[in-house]
Amino acid sequence: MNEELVRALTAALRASIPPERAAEVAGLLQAQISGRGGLSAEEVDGEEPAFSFQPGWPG
Amino acid sequence: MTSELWSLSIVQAVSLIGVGELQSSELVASALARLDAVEPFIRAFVSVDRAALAEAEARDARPAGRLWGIPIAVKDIFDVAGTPTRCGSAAMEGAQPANQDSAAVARLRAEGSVIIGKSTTHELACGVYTPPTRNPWDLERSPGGSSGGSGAAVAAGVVAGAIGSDTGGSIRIPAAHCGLVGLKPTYGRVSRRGALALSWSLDHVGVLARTVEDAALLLSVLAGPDPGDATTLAQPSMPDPVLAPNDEVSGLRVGVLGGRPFSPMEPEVEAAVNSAAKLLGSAGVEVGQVDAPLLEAALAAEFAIVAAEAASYHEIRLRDSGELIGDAVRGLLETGLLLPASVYLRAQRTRRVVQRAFRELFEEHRLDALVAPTVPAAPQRCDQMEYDLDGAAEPVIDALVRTTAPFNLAGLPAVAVPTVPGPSGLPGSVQIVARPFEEQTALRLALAVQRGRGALARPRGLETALAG
Repeated sequence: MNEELVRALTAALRASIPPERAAEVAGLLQAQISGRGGLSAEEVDGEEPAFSFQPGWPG
Repeated sequence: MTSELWSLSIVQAVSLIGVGELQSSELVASALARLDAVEPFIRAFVSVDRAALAEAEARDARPAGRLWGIPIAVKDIFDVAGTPTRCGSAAMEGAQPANQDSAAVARLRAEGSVIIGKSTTHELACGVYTPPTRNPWDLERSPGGSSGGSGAAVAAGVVAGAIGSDTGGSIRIPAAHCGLVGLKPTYGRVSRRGALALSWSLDHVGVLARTVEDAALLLSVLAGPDPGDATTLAQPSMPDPVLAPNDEVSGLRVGVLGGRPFSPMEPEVEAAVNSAAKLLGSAGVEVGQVDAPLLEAALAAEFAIVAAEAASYHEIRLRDSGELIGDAVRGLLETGLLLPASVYLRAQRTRRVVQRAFRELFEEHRLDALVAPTVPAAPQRCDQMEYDLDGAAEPVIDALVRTTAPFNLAGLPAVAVPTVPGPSGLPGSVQIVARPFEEQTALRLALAVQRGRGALARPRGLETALAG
């Protein structure tokens, strides 16, 4: 992860991240991605995410 | 009758009001006077409702309701009709007064409580410091967060109870730092309607109080279905009363969680956990050691889910007034905007594994509850960014959240309860965690710790400041 990639993603997603913050966000994003969301793909194999869609009409 | 009415517990005050020996207006006047005395030192409120006294006088004539005339503080992420909800953020400084009460506030009012003010929160309920609020036990230290204003207000005696929110420990951390009972109920037990979201799938509404009995009473008022929050529908009902006077814990089985992610911890915290285990053992509880190393993955999952959901929730705010959001919270939101969906989904799948690990732990050891340190270290100084634990530096937020977040991920009810203070004189705390919707079990065990521990001294930092 680096500033250039953050800037490119920001532009593509039209995200609200000023260019001068790209370096900080790159560092934070790298840390999050390194964390992998917790367990490895093998360790969550067979698990559904911990939320479910409710088919009824929303209130 | 004590001249320090503010020092009464909620249960005591309700009882006295019920038999006509105390009037709500006396109690609220005492709370407001206490607030005026301590607020310059603790800075726990963003607004105070002076009309609360008139409201209390109106209640004097006809006592009724489970919280009749009881002053309560509300974290400034909950809508209170007629008051802006600013969530500790300059980005919300121009918020208009709320049109209606949040579900939690409406339930409190329906039972007669008097909202005397809104307490500080770490910005957008996302952090563990809550500036500018100070810890009544040591005014150089933080009360924790994000419900730090609620914690400081209750510890300082302004109110006997307050509501807060807990996405990764935001009730239990201030409870531990401020020597209080902090209750995070089961996910879906209390409605989130009308409260600012941080993470829809992790946010829990709960309470901070000075006693277990008060926390139980507040929970009994707050719990229940609300069509405005689908997660509260079709859930098991709350036992009534939540705590019976002669509840026994003898014969219950408790596992004390050790190893990572609960270690490393400061020696005084370890002593607090051992002390709680001993108190429970003395009350006839079967206590054993357990571990669940898989929970070490919880912190990464927690941070990924919070980043992604908070970024989505605050996307417009970040676009329109991002420069007004503090750097730490802003960085989290910005990161969430770019976080790959695969990481978010991995985190939500990790959560299922964590949930299953807890179920297996309870079933394998036939446990009624788990006990763990609420936090691994003493309250941080207001400018302290790292702890030194076992010779290694660890960011304060990582240290405080790694012990609390596993129970947000699993949605389990958790009660932080003070233990016997250690040599430092600062409060110690353990959290007692039960199976889903079994808050009653956690509260019964917390009550046993409270009874075995005895009364706590008043927060010394504030007392010293007031005496000076």
